[in-house]
Amino acid sequence: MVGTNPVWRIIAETLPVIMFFAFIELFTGGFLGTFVNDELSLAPGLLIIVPGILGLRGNISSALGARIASGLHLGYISTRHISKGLKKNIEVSIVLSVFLSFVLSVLAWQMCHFIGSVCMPLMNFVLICVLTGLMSGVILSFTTSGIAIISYRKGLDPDNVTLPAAASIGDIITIICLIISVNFVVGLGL
Amino acid sequence: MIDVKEVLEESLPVLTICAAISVLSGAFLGDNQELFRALPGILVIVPSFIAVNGNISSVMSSRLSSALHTGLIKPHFRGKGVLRVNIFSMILIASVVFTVLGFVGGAINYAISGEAFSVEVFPMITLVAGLVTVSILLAGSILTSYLTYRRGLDPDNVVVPILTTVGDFVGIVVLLLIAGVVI
Repeated sequence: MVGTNPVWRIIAETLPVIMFFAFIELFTGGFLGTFVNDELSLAPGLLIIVPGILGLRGNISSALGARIASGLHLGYISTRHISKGLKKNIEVSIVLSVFLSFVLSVLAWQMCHFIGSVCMPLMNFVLICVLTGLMSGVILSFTTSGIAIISYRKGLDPDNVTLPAAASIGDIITIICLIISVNFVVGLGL
Repeated sequence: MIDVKEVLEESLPVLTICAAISVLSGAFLGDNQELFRALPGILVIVPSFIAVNGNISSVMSSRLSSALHTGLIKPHFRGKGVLRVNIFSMILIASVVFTVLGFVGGAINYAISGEAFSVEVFPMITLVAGLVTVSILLAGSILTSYLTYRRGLDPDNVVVPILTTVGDFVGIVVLLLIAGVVI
């Protein structure tokens, strides 16, 4: 809350958290850095996808985390068994992930031609994005649900734990899925 | 209970807009491949750089919205002692984190390319780019918090995803422009 704290207290509480996640994100950056040598020559135009696919995962996972947290608080999601509410939430999250990855791939392909850089074919954009969206969507929906449910069982408020944890894990998992997808799709040799 | 249709109807338009904005950020990355070949360390710190910007502006937004709801500050721009303390704190946090990030980026760049720049080049790039971006984002988060609060809307659903996506765009553009100028 603004105002009750002097400057030093805001800094003492916020600086360590922001610094911690900055360092976690360096792992994502490390994977991204390998693109310059390897993946970019295999899949020209790939960098155009990166902010979109990371942002998409962040938005979808944090919405999922927030909804599961509310569900646990309200009691329609249980920590004892896999409830219908949880299943539906995971389904929606995976469907959104796959569909929006498809939208993103078409937009990215158009943008690639618009800025006049070397581009891989539309089919490669679509396959790489949808495959990444599907893999990261499945992995992260279950991870996010797991973190929310375990933190709730341990008596923590899932609202405070799930979002930052899901965001930082999400970027790393997504970039790894992207690298796997690129190599798989290029390996298909379409 | 979750209503699948409702979630899809609410999320799809916002997330599609976000995807479109993020393709602009991507175009900027794709257009600067030469810069990344010359300075691979910059690409490595891109995710951290935009995450720090996003975290600082979302911390600011959530602190502001709590303060507005509890009546600690009023949504207008006169005589803002409390607001000033928060802006000052966020700028101070940003300065520390971006300086550290710069040194790390410089070290990674040296490890990848084997080309040593003088120690202050990377911290200078991240600090200047970071402070420019954070200033723009803080202004954006104050403005949107005030406007949505005055209109009685909940900013969580629409404003936050769009603000973070626009924040990524501003961050990438400013970082790459300043890195380009320095090199």
